Amino acid sequence: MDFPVLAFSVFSTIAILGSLLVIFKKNPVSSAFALVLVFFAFAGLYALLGAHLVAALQILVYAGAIMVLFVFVIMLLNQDEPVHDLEATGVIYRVVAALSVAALGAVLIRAVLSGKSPVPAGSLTDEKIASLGGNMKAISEQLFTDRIFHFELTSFLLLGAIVATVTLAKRKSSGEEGGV
Amino acid sequence: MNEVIQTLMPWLILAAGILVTLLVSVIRVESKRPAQFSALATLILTGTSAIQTLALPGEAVFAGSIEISSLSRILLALFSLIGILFIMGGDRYLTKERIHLSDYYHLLLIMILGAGVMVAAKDLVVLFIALEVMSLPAYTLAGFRRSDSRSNEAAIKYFVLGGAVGAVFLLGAAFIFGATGSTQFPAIYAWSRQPATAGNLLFAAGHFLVLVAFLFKVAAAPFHFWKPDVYEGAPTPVTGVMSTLVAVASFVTLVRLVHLPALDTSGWESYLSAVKGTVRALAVISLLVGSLVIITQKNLKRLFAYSSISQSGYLMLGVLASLNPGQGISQVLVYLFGYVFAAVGLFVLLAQSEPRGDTGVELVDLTGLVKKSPLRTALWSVLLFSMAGMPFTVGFFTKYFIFLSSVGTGEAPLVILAALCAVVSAYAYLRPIGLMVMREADPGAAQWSGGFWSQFVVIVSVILVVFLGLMPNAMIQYLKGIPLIH
Repeated sequence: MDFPVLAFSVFSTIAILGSLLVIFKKNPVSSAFALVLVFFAFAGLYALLGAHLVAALQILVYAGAIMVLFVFVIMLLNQDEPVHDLEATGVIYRVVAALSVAALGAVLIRAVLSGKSPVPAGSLTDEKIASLGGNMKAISEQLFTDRIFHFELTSFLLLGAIVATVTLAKRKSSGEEGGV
Repeated sequence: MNEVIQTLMPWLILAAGILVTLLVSVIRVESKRPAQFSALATLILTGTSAIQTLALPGEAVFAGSIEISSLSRILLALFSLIGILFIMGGDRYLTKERIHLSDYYHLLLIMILGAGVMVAAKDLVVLFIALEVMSLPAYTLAGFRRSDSRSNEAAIKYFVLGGAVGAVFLLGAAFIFGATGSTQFPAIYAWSRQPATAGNLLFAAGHFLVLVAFLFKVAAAPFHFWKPDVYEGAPTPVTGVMSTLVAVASFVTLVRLVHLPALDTSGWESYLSAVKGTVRALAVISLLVGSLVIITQKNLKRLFAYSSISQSGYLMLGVLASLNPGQGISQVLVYLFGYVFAAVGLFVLLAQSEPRGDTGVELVDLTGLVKKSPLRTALWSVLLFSMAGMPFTVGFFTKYFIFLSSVGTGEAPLVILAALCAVVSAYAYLRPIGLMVMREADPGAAQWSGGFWSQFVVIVSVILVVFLGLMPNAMIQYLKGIPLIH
């Protein structure tokens, strides 16, 4: 077995096991730390694909920033008892969910086995990225040329999220019912 | 660069207007008037600019990320109109509920921008971001009555389910990207026309997941369970915006996504018949759920929620028809336009009530309205007639048009079922009129007071409904000429 295949197997096994832990651990803090494991495994997978910048960002942003937020929220809620117990879910829901997931899984396995899903090469080949001067430069160039609209639209998404958060979180004004 | 700016002008005006509205609302923090006027001006300018450029040819800008065409322009103009009407008609309701804040206008404008970009998107990533730009303000606005537990419940339900559905969309988009190597619609369309790729299973799985996400957004049964609760909990003008703006944007996007691959090429036959079967099944379930459950509803907002579920059923007939060779999407557009004009009036009328107690507007609140306010009774009646699909209102022609296109494509049994459902649900629309006219006012019935602008909006909506009901040809001919974006 050559190295990429071996590394892929290791990282994907960690990712799958970690995801299962996230779901089945009853303590939210354990779930959160299992999620960190998943993030690291994914960073490894991205690095294997040659996306080194994304791998680094995955660790910085997800394992770093977002995880801290999760832990903060868990701390603030300070929930000793698990609010939602998987075993309390109704049988019908569990059966329907299992069937849907099984159907999706079957379709995906067939898609892979049928061999009709070769991933077509994108415009950014390894040589192209190298000639552009590496991952980061290639991504920046895309972001500010072809994908500039995505970028600007995302800023409006963030603006909307800020306004929404402030609206929901601010103190009630005098014009509002139950105002301070 | 200049041409890009010119093409994008209506969208740029809207985006700039959002920033201006945010800035002017701090002129006097305690007043919401600056934000309100700025929002109105923004929407009027956006709509005018979109209509002015309507005749220009379609053009894809930013390396094919979005395509500004007559479809996206007319929809942006419609969204601006919806925004204007609800700002004018919702003013008094917001003040009455003591939730009249500048934030309402910021969120409304951002929502319109998201909807306007979503219908123009030509790239799955742009489509997803635009969907979220539209949805985030919608979740927040649903929970805008922060001191009301039902409003909070609506926001949480909408947010959690909407977020999960966003993830489903992303999963589907990832499969599509994995299969085709592109997120852009024209590239995916071209890919699906090659003989070697026909019937690709990975793509089919992704496409199906993407469609499921939008079936949830349009609340086609069995993806409808969130809708009655969200409709009931959200402030009435917000319910109106969700029922018109979000519904139109989601449905047009759904139709465009159904036509993402070239399903009429050979090799896709089995997938095409699977899609058709699913759409047919959803149409039947939506029609049955919508028309049967609506009869039992006492709360008017829940009643309109089930009404919109059955509208999804009729629209599914239009989607089904469009999957046949040589058929366009004009029947869907005509139906959506007709529905919007009636729904705006209905929800603004609903916002005029001042129910006693905490249960929202119920059927009993309508009793004896004819003695208290004959004009309002007449307005209610015309709009409800249109919803029921009575002749001489726009609702009749839009239903007729959609049935016609379905019969033409050999879906006669489905049309018979839909017509029966229309007859059954007509009871639910005509009963309120009966209560208004025949019954003495219940002592607990709500007070109704509109104010000039609210009444003005309702009258505009009624005039549109009647005018387009008598002369639908101009609208139908115009919308027939609008091509689908590939």
